[in-house]
Amino acid sequence: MTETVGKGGENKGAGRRAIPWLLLARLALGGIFIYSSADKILHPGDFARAVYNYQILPRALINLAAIALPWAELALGLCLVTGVWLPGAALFTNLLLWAFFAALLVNQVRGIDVHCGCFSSRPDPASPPPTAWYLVRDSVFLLLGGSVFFRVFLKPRAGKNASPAADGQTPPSEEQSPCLDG
Amino acid sequence: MSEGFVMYGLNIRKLGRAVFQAAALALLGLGIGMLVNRFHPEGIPLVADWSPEARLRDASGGTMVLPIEKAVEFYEAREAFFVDARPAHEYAEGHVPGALCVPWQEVDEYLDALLEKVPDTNAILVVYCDGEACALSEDLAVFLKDMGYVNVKVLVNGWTEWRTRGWPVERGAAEGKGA
Repeated sequence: MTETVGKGGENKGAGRRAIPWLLLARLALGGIFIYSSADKILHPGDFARAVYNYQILPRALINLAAIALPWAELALGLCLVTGVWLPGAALFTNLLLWAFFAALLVNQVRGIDVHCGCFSSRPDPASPPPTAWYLVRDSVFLLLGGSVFFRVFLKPRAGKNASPAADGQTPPSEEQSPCLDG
Repeated sequence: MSEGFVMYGLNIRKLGRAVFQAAALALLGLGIGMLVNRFHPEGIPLVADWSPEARLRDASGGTMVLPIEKAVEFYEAREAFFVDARPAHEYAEGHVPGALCVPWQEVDEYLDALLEKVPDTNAILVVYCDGEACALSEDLAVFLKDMGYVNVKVLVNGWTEWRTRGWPVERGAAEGKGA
């Protein structure tokens, strides 16, 4: 509360409101996690096969991962959306996203098509390899996850007495930084 | 002011709390998942045997998996039809000589040709694709069995096994799909 002194809320002219990037990134990421958990929860057998196709986990752990992961994703999604346990959710989300990305990357390098668990020596010119598209898509997720992590751990603001001194920045520049993103 | 101990801009106390919460969320996922799985109509065993032999075990306890040595015997005696389940362009790049091209992902378009060339439902069919986890051959084999073929076998990791052992390879596209 003490921070807003002197800034005076919206002043006309320069009155661009700070866009709530953290909230937007949280909602987007939370929505994605909730959405992606649904199908896996409904069809555990299919998901287990998908986990197997990645050929990364030891066979004994495949089913346990297929059972636990969708529910963890759902819980994470709910935490991200509601803000409950946000630090834990932000940390876990980033760990998962990096794990998924690494798994895709490993299989791209090994030449394994994660769709069928088979090798695709050379991609069909008619249909480009889905793995490449997955990597692009996951990069977007990583960016979202990274921004949530950044805002939660490195640059907390909004509300709780954010201490600008902690990262050596002066209050005004911190106040205006959202405009740089837009 | 319990701001915590800050290092490299990271609030250590907050991070510690986050680690605890993340672990709790993981356990929560495992707990709920195991509980729901018990009552799920499509529930799966907690630990399953993912070996090809187990995956391709039929009701009578036999497995559709065919050892490579046996496949070579079939090939040399011309006792079996080889069926390539990989995409058509991979078939064109090289396949077991005489193998039929039946890409699982477009099976509808290639099925008629197969039925025409293999009218005998007692014929031995050796289905293969590439990679030990490759599901194309397994799915196609189960499909062909359902179609009425009695002797369907799967040569696991077939293409790699075949090539690395130096067996003959034939190139070129299939004669014409669906024709």
